[in-house]
Amino acid sequence: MNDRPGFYGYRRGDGRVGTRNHVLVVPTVICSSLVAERVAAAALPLGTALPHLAGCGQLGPDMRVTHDTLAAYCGHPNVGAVLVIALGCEQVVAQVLAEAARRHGKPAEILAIQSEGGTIRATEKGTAIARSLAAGLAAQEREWCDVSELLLSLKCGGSDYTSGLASNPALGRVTDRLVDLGGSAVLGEIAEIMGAEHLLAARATRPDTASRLIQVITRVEGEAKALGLDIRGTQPSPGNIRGGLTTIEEKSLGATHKGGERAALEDVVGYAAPIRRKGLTVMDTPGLDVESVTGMVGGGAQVVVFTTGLGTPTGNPIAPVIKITGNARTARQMADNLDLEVSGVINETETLDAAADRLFAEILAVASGKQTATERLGHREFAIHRRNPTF
Amino acid sequence: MKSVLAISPRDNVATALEALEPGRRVDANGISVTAIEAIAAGHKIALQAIDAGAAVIKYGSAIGLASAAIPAGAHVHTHNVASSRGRGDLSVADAPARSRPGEPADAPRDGAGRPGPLDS
Repeated sequence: MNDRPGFYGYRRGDGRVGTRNHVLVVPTVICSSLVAERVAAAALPLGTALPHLAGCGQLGPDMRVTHDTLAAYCGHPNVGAVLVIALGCEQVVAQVLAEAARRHGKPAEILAIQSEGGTIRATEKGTAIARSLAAGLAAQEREWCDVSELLLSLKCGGSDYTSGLASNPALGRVTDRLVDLGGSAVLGEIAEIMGAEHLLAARATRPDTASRLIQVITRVEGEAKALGLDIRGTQPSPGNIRGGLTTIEEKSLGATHKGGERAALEDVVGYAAPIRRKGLTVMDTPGLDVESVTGMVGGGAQVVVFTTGLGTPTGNPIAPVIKITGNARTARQMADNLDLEVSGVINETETLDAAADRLFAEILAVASGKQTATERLGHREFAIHRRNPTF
Repeated sequence: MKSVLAISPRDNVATALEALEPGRRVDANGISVTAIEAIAAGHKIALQAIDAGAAVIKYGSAIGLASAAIPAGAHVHTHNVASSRGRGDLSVADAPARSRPGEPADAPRDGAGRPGPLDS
């Protein structure tokens, strides 16, 4: 009898496994976002939309990141079927997104607002298609999957002094354990590695991985300096500073605890780029919470664990986001938005290992279908990282 | 419940787990120190005197450099600690000498009492 840990997931045509079974309604461009939201809302519980602000007026790298992120969501294992809502004149190509879904074994349809004849007709037609796609997914059942098929996104937001003392170290123990068992984890927020990069670089399995990490951090630091501004004020944020974090170095040293103490650093990848290696990957995302989670889920993460000291409600349209805090006051104040509390680690009523065990069990339960606070409340925040002006 | 927490034995600051009033005596890393001012929960207290320009150590690593002399028992925060990273607000000449990543407080010093240049 196999007593390795695991979860019940949806096996996809491309071999990957999902923790959710969404009908993804994707607007190619900001102009079709409202129709996408209304169509998804009419196809609940499986319908979910990706309203975003991009898709046109962009050049070069930004256009590529927009395309790649949307395509990554269309091919994601948590998605069972895709409906692309186009306007008709935008830069993002609806067919490319539909092909991304089909390449990963999912049915995909396209609908364009200009061809259908406006908002009302497009919403009606889209609703019919989305409901039909959802009906097609309803029969699919979850099957037992080994924990090594899990790619966990590691996130911290609204950090305070408890993040580096309790919630991030507890998550770090989980990361080490997951990677020991053959699973994977992704860490983002490059600005919040600045000051602690020596610790991660030392665990890189290849020299070029370590140098890529340093390169990415040097670029981000250079961007702050080029603006002629002190990065402090956004990193750390005013709330971080009130909560006791003095410098970005201090914040980063606390933040990188999420990556564990021994999990080997296997890769450094770009924003929303596919995560291909087992073990720990660093993804080039900003520290901004929603952009960061959007990117890491785009890379293939099926579950997000999000530590928070001060409390933040944000979720993701296709991945469950587990919210965990080490701050007892926040646990009371923002109880509705939290799934787990580990303040016992600080007041020494619980060991770090016991807290990590609870978190590990919660991750497997959520992967198998248990709803997180973000899902219960309908928090589905989505934002694609952008660096350049629109034209 | 402990009133302060030091993470690494190399740390020269500890984190207050509850608000500390002036005169409160706390222990961390085998050091006993008295708070010389009020320190909010979650904020840091100096476990020993830290010279201006010396590294402030938490988690066993430098989290910044003291921008003024910090007496033992003082509140350690943005008013007396300078970050070395992402400082686009400073010209090169004014940039605080950056503590090498992972370098503890005993870095080599030049005549001005600041750590020596990075690449020498």
